[in-house]
Amino acid sequence: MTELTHDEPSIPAPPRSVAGHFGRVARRPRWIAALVLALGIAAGFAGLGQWQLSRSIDTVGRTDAARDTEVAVPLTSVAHPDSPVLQPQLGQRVTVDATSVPGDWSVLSDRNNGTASGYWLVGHLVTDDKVSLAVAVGWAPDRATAEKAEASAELSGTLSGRYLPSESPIQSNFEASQQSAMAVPELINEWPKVGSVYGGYLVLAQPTPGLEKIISPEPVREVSFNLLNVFYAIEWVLFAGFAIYLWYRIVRDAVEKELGEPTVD
Amino acid sequence: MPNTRALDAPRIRAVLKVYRVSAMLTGVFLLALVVMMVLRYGFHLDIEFNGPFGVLALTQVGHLTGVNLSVVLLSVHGWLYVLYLGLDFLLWRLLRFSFGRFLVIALGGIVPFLSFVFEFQVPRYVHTRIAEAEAAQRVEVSA
Repeated sequence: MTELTHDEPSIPAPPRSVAGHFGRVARRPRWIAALVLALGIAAGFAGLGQWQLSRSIDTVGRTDAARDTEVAVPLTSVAHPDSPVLQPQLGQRVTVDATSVPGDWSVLSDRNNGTASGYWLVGHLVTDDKVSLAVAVGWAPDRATAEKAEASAELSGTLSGRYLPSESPIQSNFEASQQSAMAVPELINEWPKVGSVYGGYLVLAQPTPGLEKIISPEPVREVSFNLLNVFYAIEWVLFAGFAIYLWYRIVRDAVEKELGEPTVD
Repeated sequence: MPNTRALDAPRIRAVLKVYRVSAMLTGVFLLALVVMMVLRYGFHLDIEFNGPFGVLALTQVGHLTGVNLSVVLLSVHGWLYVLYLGLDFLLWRLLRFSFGRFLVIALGGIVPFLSFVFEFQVPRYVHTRIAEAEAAQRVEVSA
């Protein structure tokens, strides 16, 4: 009586060995089939866990639709007037049918293009839907060149470029009456006639004559590690283990039943 | 051979109590989940909490800035169901009923309204089983 049978006191002859019996019962076709099923379910769960893991390392903004920032889409399809630029729209290549407003040009200082610091010529577009849109036309190494380019900066028709969020006006040096931030709220104060406004601005893909192209690279998508999905992945692994355990438990129940331990339906 | 194994009645009753609460909670969240699914896949709307459109609002999927209650519902139900399954498992082990019954009870967290039925049916079944086992014990003792 070396076996621990203290909780089964009333079984007349304690089973010689449940474990020894287990192997014989488990080898029956019925339980082998059940094991195959359990392994299949476990594999399915593991697969789901892997999928969760792949979902947990996701690029923000690509979850809803597989939107590619490098394929130009109409601005009206990604942005709404009078609303901020959301993550999925950030850096999107867009096309817009608009005309520039003469006289609403201004020059921003301290604009880096690559390593060189210089000036941006910025303007006021009005789309065919009568919505204002700030536009960065091009870069120049000095203020004079940027201001001179105004004369040949008339824009109209279908314009293409990248849609970026407005910068904070705080970057501007007001005391020196220098404007260096591409701040839409600041710009609209200078435009005499404004209706609805897009929250972001357009960086023209092709500059107007006399200016250099503003370097505007493909946005680096923020890679986020979604902890919730990691937890779910762990959960699936546990479920997979549990499927195998359940098989073991059911076979053991069958063994115990044969050895005189009844189960009830 | 008679059922000679005494059931651990106090422990079963304790588990049963937790099971009932879990069945009710899981059932409620399952109904909320159904509403959420209809909104998301039928109307392409998510439930937004504390967003720009008020404390509770229905917002187009993917345009939420507040807390996405739809996702919260989804995960809370998920975890409640894990708890429900755990309790189902405990009852199965303690009462030694069939694996089929275990699976049927498990459906309670997936089929809407079913857990509300089980919330009453399972305790009735469990009490019957405990009574049976105790009666069998008495017979054995007196024999």
